[in-house]
Amino acid sequence: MRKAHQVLAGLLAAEVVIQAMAIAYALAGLGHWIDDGHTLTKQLIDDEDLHFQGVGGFAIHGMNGMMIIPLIAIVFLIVSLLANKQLPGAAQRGGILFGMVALQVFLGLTLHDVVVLAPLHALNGFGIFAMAIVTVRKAAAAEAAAPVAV
Amino acid sequence: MTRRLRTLLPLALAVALVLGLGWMWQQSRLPGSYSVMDMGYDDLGGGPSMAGMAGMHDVSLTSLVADPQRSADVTVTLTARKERLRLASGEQVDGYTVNGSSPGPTIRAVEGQLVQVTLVNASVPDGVTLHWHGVEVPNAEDGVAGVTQDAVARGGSYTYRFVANHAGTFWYHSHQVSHAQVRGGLLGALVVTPRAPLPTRDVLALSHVYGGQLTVNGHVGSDTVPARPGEHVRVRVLNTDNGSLRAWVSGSPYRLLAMDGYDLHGPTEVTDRSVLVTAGGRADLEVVAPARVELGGSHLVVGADVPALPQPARTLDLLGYGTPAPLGFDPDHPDRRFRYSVGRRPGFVDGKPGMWWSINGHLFPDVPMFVVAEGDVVRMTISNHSRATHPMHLHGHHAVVLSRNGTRATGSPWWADSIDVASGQTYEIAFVADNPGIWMDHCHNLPHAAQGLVAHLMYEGVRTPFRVGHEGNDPE
Repeated sequence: MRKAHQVLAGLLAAEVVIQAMAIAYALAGLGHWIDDGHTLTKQLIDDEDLHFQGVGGFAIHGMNGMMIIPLIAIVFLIVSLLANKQLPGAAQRGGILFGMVALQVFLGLTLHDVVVLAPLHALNGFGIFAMAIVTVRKAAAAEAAAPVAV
Repeated sequence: MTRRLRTLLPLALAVALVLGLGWMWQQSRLPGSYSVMDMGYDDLGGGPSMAGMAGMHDVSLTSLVADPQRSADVTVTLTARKERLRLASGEQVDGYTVNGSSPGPTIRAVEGQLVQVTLVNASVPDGVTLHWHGVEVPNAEDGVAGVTQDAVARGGSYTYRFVANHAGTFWYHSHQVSHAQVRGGLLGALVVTPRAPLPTRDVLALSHVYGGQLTVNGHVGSDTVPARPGEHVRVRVLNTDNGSLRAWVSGSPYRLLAMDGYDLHGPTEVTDRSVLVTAGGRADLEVVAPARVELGGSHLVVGADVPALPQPARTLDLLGYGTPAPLGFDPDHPDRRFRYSVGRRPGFVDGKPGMWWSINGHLFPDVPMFVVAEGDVVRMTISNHSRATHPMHLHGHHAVVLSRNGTRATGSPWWADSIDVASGQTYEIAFVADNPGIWMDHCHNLPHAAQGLVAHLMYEGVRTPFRVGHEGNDPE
């Protein structure tokens, strides 16, 4: 369980990086496409059939952010609760990271309505990354300190 | 003891989480086929409950048809195919055609005529239907697979008959796997003209996105209709897409004559505002040639081309447009009051985890069934807290808009079948339940409907023999 806790925390950190890369790729592609003389309309957005380099970044960011990362976060929370006996503090870090992911999803959806929340979405993303890395390191440190099974 | 609790508490929490999620997943799974009558829970809207269980559903909606003895005035055969289609301007895209083209042929009828349309499925593997968007057809002709009929399989046909009882701009589209078939072009316009000839010529500006390209009347970017300088032309703007569009006019002031097929009373000249046409909605604009009807990315040239005006910063607010007129009923003393609150929350729909649209806090299919009796005056409050816009469409009825965010309508009666409800907005609407049946009330951003943003309005005493999932029926 301790190993699973560590691996899943690492996966969450990697997912944050993927999210940032995907949205940067998509926004750069969209900017380039518009610069090329194209027009973006609500009809085109809702038709979900846009063709420009990087457009897949939006889908990756959305699918990852609303489905895959929350699923990882839930499994991570369960694993962290189970790992707490071996690794004191795992449950607490699991709870915090899960809460930060929940907040991230909330911010990600709400920023479409309350645009000023967008910077907080980015900030919280860095927070998740940092917390996930701390979790990986604590687990690794505990493993190093633990007596080696003979 | 405390130490033991510290060990056991996380374990207990983990077990509770796993069991809770497993239970939610199991509960959300849909059976292979189901009747929409069994969906969710009855919402009586403060009206009387259905009188006893015996004989409760005593009329099959298949009997709710136009007069079978009456012969048709307008007869059309529409053949649907899944194929690569060539747009009017030459581009080829994968999609669906009706009689070899998309948009399909425009059906024209005069108010009061009986329209008979035979739909033939030549090659659509998933099956097809035709829904008459905005037309108050008898329920059996509504064209919703699994609710009012079975999808028409390849090689099959189905005949729709209805009286075009209201002059206006409407459209038809498939209501089987609609999120794919409508996007792919299985659609066309239906124009009902009044008995007295219109004072102006009328033309179409049907907007649709094919393969990521904005088109008008099947032409990528722009289409042109001839008109003499100074001629008044009625331009019927149809938004057949999943997202709203804004229409405005370059080169001429305009009047907004009708919304969703219903004339506005006392329409005045508009110069510096655009009209919001929601997904599925229609707007009839009267322009004076030469003019360009701008559709935000595509346009219709009426007569000679004129320089394009940029999009006006402001939107025409229909709450205060035109002059008041009698509604024909009293919305302030309704028999039923319903709440249709759209949200978004995590959960499972048919076993799939995600952030799903909710109706009054419930996820599909555990959504309200709005129950009415024939003759009821119904008031509905539609609110949206989902962080996305929803073009809400009620089948078989037109509702009058009473207010938006508490601001009451003071202009012409604004009758709508498709209402653009942005996040944070609340609309109050009212209608008379005068068309018995089982009617969808859903989001016309069709992928949203496929994700579960669908409820129904059910008249007491009406039942459907059709089932979603049976015979391949998949309305969304």
